Amino acid sequence: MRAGRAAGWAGAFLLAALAAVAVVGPWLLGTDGRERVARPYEPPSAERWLGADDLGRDLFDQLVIGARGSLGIALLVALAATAAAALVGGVAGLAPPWAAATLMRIVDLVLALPFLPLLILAAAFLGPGLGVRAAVVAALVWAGPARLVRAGVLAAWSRGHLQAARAMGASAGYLLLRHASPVVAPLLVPVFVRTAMTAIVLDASLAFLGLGDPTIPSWGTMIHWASVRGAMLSDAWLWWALPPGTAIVVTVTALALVGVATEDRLNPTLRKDR
Amino acid sequence: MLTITDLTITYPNGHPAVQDVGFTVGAGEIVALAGETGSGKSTIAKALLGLLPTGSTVTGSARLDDLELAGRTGHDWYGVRGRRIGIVPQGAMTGLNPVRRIGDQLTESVRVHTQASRAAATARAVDLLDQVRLPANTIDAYPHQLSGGQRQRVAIALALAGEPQLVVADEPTTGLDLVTQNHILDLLADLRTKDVGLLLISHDLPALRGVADRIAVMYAGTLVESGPARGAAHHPYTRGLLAAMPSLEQDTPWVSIPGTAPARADLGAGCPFAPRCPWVTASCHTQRPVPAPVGNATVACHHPSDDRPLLFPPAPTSGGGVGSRQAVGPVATLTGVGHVYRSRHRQTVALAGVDLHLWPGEILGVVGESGSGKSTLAQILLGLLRPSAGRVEVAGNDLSLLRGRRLRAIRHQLGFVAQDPYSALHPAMTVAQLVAEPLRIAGTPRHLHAARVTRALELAGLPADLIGRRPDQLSGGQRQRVAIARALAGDPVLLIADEATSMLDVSTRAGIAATLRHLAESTGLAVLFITHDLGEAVQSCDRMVVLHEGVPVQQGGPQDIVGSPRPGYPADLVAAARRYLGAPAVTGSGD
Repeated sequence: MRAGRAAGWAGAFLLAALAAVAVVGPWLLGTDGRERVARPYEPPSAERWLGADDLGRDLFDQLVIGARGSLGIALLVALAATAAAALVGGVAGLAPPWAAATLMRIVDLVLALPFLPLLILAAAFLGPGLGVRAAVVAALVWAGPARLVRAGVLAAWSRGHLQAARAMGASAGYLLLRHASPVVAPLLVPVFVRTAMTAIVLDASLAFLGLGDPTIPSWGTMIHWASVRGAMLSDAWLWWALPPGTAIVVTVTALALVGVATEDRLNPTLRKDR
Repeated sequence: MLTITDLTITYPNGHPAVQDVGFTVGAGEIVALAGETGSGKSTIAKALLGLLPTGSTVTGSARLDDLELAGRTGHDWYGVRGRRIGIVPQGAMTGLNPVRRIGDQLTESVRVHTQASRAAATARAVDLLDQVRLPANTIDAYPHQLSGGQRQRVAIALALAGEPQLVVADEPTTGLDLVTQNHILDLLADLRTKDVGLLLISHDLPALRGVADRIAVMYAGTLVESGPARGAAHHPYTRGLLAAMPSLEQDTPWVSIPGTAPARADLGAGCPFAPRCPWVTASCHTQRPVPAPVGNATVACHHPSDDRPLLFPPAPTSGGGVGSRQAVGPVATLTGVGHVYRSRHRQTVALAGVDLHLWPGEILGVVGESGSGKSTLAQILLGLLRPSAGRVEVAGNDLSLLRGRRLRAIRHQLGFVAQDPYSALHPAMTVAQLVAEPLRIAGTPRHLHAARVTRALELAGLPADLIGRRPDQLSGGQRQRVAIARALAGDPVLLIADEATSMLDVSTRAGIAATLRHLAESTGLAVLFITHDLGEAVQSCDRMVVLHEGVPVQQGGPQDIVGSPRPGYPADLVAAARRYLGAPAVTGSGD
């Protein structure tokens, strides 16, 4: 339990650091990372820590600016998917049986869709804009969590204290606000963290396949260009592809640590006496 | 055969759950271990079977013939559990595998313990079913096709599968209705004729007195009294427990033992029962009594007595409360109410032809076994369920005409106390917030809340200093009183108590019923008292309705129903209750 909490705090600290980089980093650098500032394929030096790409653009600048793209999409997707899951799951938990059944069959349908091919198709057709990409990823990841939320609402509904309030003449709004949401809301925290995690990996995959916006620096785009421009054939992968890859791994790990820690805290069956 | 001496069991939290307990079970003997929630009786069963949580320590000795059971771990238990000691675990009837046939589950158990061939095991399974008086074709049934009583028989057959010397049955009749309960106890009594010893664990002292040879009563982890089942009781706790069982005769007082059992951490050097004891003296607080022989029994008490009066405050007896009936009309009227649950495949009649009037100041008892439609009736009165037939009038309003906000407004005038005090209170709210909830829901101005909460707590018999506590800091009885206070806060005209006492310890039940009685008499509240316990209804109600399979089969005063029950279900119910309470009364001298 102690170790789990420490890991949770470590994850939260990492996330905070990454978020700080994403927010103030580009502003400190004073560049948008698209200017040609060095010799193409320049190796790392004291001045340019990660060298330059094939067009002579600074790779360290790109890495910092890329944090904004990657974390931004994670945030957008997590917000949208959690909201959709809460809405659909909540409605399906409270609606009359026929409406709930219809909603849950839609959820089943979304879950059954071939995930990556559809994502690639959608990205190819709808274009590479940040908002569009976030919407596409969110549209595919909300379904599983929606089931979770519905189960939570149903469990809350059968609780004695909610039924007691119902017998006191409480309105549906009161029941939802006072008795159901304290049970269901904690479920949304791990949902948020997990969708953010999925979003980062999916977005990087899309960018790596060349379906991201090539003009906006992101970690996935960096790996894409490293691969396309032959960095993998020389030592250049060390400072071109490895840093963004590491950044993705660190971010996802940090999210996972936070996710596990919150789940431990919220799930009393996993919680041991402290 | 089984000899337990100085058994002390300590859970990983460091407090002894069981302290210095000793008793024996002979071959062919039925010994009962009785006690309320948390008395340590199930802990002893777990220790005998090696099912204690890891980190528990067992000292003392528990010998089964030549076999020492204390101090065994892991593999040492193979060949003992099931083979030498069979178990009927708590809630066994819900513990059968729902997707396997009874025969498969029995033969599996037989083959694990004896190296029988498949054919021999099947023959043995039929034989076992015959022993528990189930027809041979039960072998092809799935658990859901059997009734609760039949499943409990299967669980007993499973315990016998390994031909054990000792069978430990943990609460084998809890959750069964009285008639079935008597059948199961008869069955257990008959198994005694074999060479099997039986250790029966239950909170239900009167039921145990009917079947066991000897009874050991536990309190707060210690053995307070053990002796012949039908002999007189000597320890004030045993006497109190027996007097806490509601009698079918209204003039026999129904008492409750004040207070609650102490937590193990709070146990001092004195007698654990001293804080609740009516006979307490100075030495009781300082010296723990040692078990000593009194007549045929062994009693751990400084002042044992089988005839000294128990001066617990008696619960007020029923009667009266009908004076205002002519002056005001009924608070609720049901006319020809019926309800049918429809699912895709079948229709279930939950209620049919119920005609009832609930009068102010009157307690109306609704008695019936589970599935008799008692709770459906409560749901209909609260307007949570629309009956499929008939007319329901509450406080002068026809419920079928009301929807939404106006229907909810009716509920503000009703109080509801549910069966389970553990789930019915929001765990994060304080007593003050809980009791004020109906006021908040009804939109009562905030400045009135504090006064109304104080009054409701007082009416429900709760000390005002509990107001800041949360539910997990309260005992079961206190929680149920909070639920009653909550139901009273909105100044209801009708209180619906749905099995409000059935999950509470016997020693606190009478107190709750007395509180309801006092409320009805002093405030003119109408009470619908739903229960499965006939004695409890007789003791607390002015009028009773017996429900059977949704049909009100008899209605009338408690003495009319007990004195001249109609043939059929009411007669069976009264006979079963009489037999259940048949053991000699405690307040008398005993035999």
